[in-house]
Amino acid sequence: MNKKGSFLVGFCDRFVKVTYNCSQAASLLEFLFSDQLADANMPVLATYDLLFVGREPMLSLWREDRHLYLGTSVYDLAYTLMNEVIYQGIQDNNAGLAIHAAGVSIDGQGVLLPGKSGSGKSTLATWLVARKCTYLSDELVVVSAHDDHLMIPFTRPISLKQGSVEALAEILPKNGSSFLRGANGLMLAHRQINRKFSYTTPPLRAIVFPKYQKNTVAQITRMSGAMACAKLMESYVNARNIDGHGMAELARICRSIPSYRLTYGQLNSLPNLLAENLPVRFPWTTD
Amino acid sequence: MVFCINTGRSTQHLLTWIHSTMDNQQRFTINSEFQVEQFDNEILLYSIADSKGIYLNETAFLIWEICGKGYSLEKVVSLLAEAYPQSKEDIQQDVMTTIESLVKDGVLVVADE
Repeated sequence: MNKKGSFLVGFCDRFVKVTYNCSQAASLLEFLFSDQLADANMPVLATYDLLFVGREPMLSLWREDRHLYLGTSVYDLAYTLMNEVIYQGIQDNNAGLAIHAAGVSIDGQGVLLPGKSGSGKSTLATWLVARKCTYLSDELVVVSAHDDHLMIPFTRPISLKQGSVEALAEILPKNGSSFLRGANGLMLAHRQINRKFSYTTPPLRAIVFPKYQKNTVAQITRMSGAMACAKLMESYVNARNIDGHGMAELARICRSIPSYRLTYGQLNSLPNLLAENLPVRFPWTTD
Repeated sequence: MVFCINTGRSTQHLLTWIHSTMDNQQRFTINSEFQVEQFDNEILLYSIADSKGIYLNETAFLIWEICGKGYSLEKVVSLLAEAYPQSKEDIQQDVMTTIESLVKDGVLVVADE
């Protein structure tokens, strides 16, 4: 039976409406945005239409009369829609500093993992979540200008490239319905990794710039404020929306929050290394 | 490829040229697109237009500032030699290396003659 309807999705009070034409399309939207749904009466920035047509459905994504995707890959469709929602979430967003970053909460303390695509931030976040840290995001976190620098995450399924899938083979579930596989990787419901989850906006307590290098023994070094600020600029995506481009705030964060450069490949040395260096209490540490 | 505004030379070409031809009277100007954010003993030069931050230690910042005042290379070296007499032997090479790096990062520009 066809089921039509819509969801409002987004974050930082920036929402888009996505309509669907069948239960399969609705399931996809629930998989992608279950942590970022909004009340139906919120104002919307744009409307997208998701259409699944046929027994082996031809999939399409539309924004008004412009088609954004037309094909048969659910993964590619999901990827396109996710990028649209993120774009709308950042565009004109001045709620804080939007950082291209993963994030986790550890004992109520936020750890930001900024980095470009391929830096290993999703891999590290997944590994931490598998060890009972709370998932926040693998892609985008807004850091508020509040004194406590609250982390406002865009929480979505974890998106892993093929190399990460191989690196995390021991952690990832072998099967299940909460996967979306594509040619270049997969999207995975984070609750498959750690069922304990509630949406949270913890205070930022540490910044770790990950760099994944296959088979490398993990190393961590403390960064100076200026070095961290230069590095964080590379992942700072909404500067034009903020007074003074937000540089004073970015510098304030880097002066007050300890920052680290983490190179890793072999995961087995991470628990001790992180516990010994970061100012948070990891679930695996004992008093 | 990045091009120097004043000369039109590519960065690599420019660096080679600086190294081979930088005479003691060569002068530089500061790229005004970059702003300064001071940390304890370090500096971040940043350009919002390029979403780019360049980290400088204290010495590199000093060289950047002196160059920005329009002094010649010879004068920059002599000022630093005066400030750091114990490192006098290495200063010429260190200054040239630092200036090369600053030009490569786009925060200093080779001045027209």
